[in-house]
Amino acid sequence: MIGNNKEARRYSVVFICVVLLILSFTISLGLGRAFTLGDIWTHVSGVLRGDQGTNSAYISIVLLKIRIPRILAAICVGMSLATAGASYQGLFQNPMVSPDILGASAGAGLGAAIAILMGAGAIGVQLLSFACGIMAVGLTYAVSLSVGGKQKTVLMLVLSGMVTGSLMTACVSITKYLADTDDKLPAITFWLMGSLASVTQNDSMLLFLLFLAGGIPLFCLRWKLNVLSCGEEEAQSMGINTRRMQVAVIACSTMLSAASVSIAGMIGWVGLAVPHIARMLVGSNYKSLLPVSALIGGIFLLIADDMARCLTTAEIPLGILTSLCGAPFFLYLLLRTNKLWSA
Amino acid sequence: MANRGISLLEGGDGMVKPALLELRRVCCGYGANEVVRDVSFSLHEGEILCLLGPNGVGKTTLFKAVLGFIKTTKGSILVEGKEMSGLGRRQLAKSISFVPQAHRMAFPFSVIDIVLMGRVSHTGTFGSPGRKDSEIAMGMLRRLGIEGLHDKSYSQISGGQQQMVLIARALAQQAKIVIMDEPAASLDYGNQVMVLEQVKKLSSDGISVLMTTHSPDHAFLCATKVAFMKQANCFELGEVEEMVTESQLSDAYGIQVKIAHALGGDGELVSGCIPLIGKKKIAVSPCPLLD
Repeated sequence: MIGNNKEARRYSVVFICVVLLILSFTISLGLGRAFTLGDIWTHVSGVLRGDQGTNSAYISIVLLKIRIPRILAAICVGMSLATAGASYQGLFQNPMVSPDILGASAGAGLGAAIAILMGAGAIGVQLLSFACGIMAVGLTYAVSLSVGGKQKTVLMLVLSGMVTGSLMTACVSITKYLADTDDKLPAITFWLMGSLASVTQNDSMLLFLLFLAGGIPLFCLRWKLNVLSCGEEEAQSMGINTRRMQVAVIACSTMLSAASVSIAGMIGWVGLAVPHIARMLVGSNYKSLLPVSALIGGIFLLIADDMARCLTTAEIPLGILTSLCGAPFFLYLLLRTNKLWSA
Repeated sequence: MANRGISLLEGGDGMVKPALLELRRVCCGYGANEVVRDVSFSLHEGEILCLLGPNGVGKTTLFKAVLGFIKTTKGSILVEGKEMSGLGRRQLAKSISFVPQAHRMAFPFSVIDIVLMGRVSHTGTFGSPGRKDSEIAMGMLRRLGIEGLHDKSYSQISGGQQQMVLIARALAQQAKIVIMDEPAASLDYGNQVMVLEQVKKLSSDGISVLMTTHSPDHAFLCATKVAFMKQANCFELGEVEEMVTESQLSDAYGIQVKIAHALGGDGELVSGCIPLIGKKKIAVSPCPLLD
């Protein structure tokens, strides 16, 4: 009845995004030095016919243990960061907000740096990183409560987030300063640049579960983010328990961004720019904005990671690539359309 | 228990109606700073209570207490006969809706999306509005005569239209009490009158309106009752003609005001306030109710 054209447009954007995601997943399977999509096809059809080629065992190991986990991890990280970013933009009523506003990524970065400094293994780095990310946001929230009381919670959260974030960044600098320059310092620096090169099957499974745990509640609450983005008092007058809603959104978004950083390192721009791109396509209503943001985030990070592993013979750090591609692409979109602020 | 705490109004046909909203000796403020002291009034079905008073006197603070944004320090607020402190946000929103001053939204929502937000207290925790809610939202736009705006972007319509959209959002909440914070402020002359006309229409549909305004003329145009907040802590309530007088206005705002009368189109008497410029300022006399 209402705005049938717009509704149809929203559905077709979702449909196109799903198709693009499946397409880029398939293409990504065949990217890399070891074998191409054609090799995979011969392998799969060979297995189906029951005769194993010479390369067959090699292809299935690389595919199942390396390529597919990495592709899935890239999609999960992109979806997580975009979802967290879009949710935070609504919660803080500000389109310039990114998932690290409350210090989640800075905290996760510090956790990883400390773990590397102490010589922990890959799992130790991930665990400490995830824990520190969550703790940093907990600290931010506690500070905002003790400083702000019950008034102006959003403003107090942003200010406390800035304080926590810069504290964490300073601590990362301390760990770098203390680190062994031959071996630990480069490890910390490269980790912070972000990469999915060492993702294992377990990592990607864990990441997927955390994505579901944080993403499903946000997906269910997404329409209410509209109301929350009108401001605390207005949302209250419309019948929303804003405090409870804030805690839920912060908890879920923190889980998403801490999980992403702990596995992939610091990855900028996705959480800030992808929700804007989605807003240009489907408008501001979170009902379609949140799923479209997630889908575009997944596609974007998957393509960025493909470039990271295939553009040159050595890996390019993923965090550098997302900023290098994300920033100009975003600028291009801003210049090309002035539809950013129309519904 | 039956009638305890419910003030009664004799209707014209002898029916007795309980007050929709009743404040009893309410005090509220921020921390130790008590801004509003000892305010009592009640609002019945179809009444339009216009709250007048200079800036900084505590009108907004009183509104915040009535909307449950801040807690009262003393006294009690009864909403449809129930103690407000015992109501959850969602229940309260079904009784009281709020129309803020037209303002910028952080994101460019479409008009219909904004009106649908008013349905949030009628949808489940993880729900979103359905077909019935869309119909109610469209109905409210139609009621205000702005259904043509439904798929326009809120950021691209005029200030008067934005104010109407926010009224439609409050109506979609289907609450019996509507609270409006200077609904006609920052609107042009024509839009001011258009908004006030709508306010008057609401009251004939049985909705009660509590609104603040900076223009006493608005009280003449649509109020059924007027309350004055002059200086801190002084609250007076009465009929329009007995409250909006030259001496009351001079007292509240410290300027000289004349009230003029004219015959309206159908021969009815209409009144308006005319401030005098260049006259000596009047010292604001202390509130008679407080010593």
